Amino acid sequence: MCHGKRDLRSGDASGAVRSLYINEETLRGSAHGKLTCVDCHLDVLELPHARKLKKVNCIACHSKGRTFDQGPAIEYLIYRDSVHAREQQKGNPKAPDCATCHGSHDVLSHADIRSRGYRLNIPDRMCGRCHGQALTDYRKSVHGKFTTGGDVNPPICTDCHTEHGIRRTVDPFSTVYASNIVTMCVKCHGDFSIMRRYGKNTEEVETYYESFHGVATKFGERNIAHCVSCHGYHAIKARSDPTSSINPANLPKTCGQAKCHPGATANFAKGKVHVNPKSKDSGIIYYVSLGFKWLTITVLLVLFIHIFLDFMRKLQEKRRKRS
Amino acid sequence: MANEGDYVERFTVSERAVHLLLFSSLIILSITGLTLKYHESWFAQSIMRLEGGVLFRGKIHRIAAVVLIATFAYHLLSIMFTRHGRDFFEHMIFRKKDLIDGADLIRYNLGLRKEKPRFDRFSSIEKLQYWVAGLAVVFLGLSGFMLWFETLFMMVFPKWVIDLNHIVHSFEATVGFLVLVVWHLYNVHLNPQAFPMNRAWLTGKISKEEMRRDHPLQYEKLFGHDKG
Repeated sequence: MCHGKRDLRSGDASGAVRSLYINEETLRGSAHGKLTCVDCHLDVLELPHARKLKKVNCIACHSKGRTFDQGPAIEYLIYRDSVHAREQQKGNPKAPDCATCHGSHDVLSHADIRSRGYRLNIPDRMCGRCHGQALTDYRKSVHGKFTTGGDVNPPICTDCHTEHGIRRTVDPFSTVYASNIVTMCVKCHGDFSIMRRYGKNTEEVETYYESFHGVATKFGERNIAHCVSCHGYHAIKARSDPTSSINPANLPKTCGQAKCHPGATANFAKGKVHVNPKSKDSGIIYYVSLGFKWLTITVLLVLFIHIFLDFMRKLQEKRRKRS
Repeated sequence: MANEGDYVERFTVSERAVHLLLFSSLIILSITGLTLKYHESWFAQSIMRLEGGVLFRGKIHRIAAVVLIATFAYHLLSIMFTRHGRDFFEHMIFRKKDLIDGADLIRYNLGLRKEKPRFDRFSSIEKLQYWVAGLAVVFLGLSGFMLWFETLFMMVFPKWVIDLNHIVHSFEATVGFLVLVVWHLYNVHLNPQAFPMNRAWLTGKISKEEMRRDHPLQYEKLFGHDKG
């Protein structure tokens, strides 16, 4: 067939050349392998076909209940409100549509390890194709290093940004909107069974929620430090890493961001950040807390005893006076 | 002191006004403070969800703190520079007699002593409350100030000092609140002799009978032994 010829190309007025070669083996091995060309390219009515064909409408098949009149698939509906779809509507040539991410003639199931939608392939072969800086940062991060090594547990792009409903950080419906960040990180960092696999526990989550930052965030304040404010978003690194935003040497710069505590000095780093007064490794904080707890109990006990004795004696005096 | 029938003035207008400002600001401080400390509780949640949330609660807390500190400063000036104030302070200082009286009071309450110790204008308990409250205001004011200007203090002191300050403020305020609510309320209002309420904080007056019973030394100084 024509498109089976390797050198089949098209050139347009601006001089750009596009290959029109389709590898039949790839197509037959893909999820659409059992389909014919005209099953998707609905406007091919005669051969040779018109020079300019319309873009394939994926939701012709990918709709609820598999017939067009029942409405598009939920993924498309979600996509339609996303930043990608809106950019597309604005005419941005770089904006992705279904085929940009999923492919056209080489679509494979996400469970297939060769698929670009396979979990460990997504950062490099899907999102990273356009978002190069994000990918570079991610690969330097703790999360990225683990997934490079084949660990499927840490988050990839779509775990935080979702697959189809990607929105700008300033959009309140975005999963990465300031108020939604903490809930998102807590999904893994607040789950003890996940954290245990990496020798961690969920203390950071609990201590954050007990801190002033956490309480304010919980009650809806938006200009308050959340996970990303200190740990960053793509380039999240361990404390021991000298380039990490939470390395003690770098903390003054992190805490001293213009919107937060400008002028922060090295003193900011002299003490545990996620401090837990109930834990022995908080040192003096723990002992003073404990001391105060016992002081409160003792004082209350003494007061109640005094009140009780005083009360009994005064009652006695009152009765004596009457008689 | 003014003599109106069977009553004697115990607190001047100025003293009653100071007390009013004191407990008003303390109530607001307690509510706004405890809602942050016990933010998980149902009452804290309902208060926080009022207009302005956490940060507005903080502003109210600080306004009340300024009122408290101003009241305290006024009191300090009055005990330093007015005759009545200096006299008041003289009667509030802890002396050896108070320690003896305190021990005797315990014995009396336990039924081991027949007679109640004889107090002057202010009993050992009242003196203790004055000093505890005064010191608490000083320490809570200082630590609160450090919390208010947290960025500035965090630049100067290591973070662990700031964390410690936070703990001290939070716990000391809670103990203070409890002592006030539990002890002061009982001593002044709810004890069987004062029940339903000792009105001296409002009227400024104490009856001669009450003075003779609770502050016999003062009674003697004013009216002598014979009128007993």
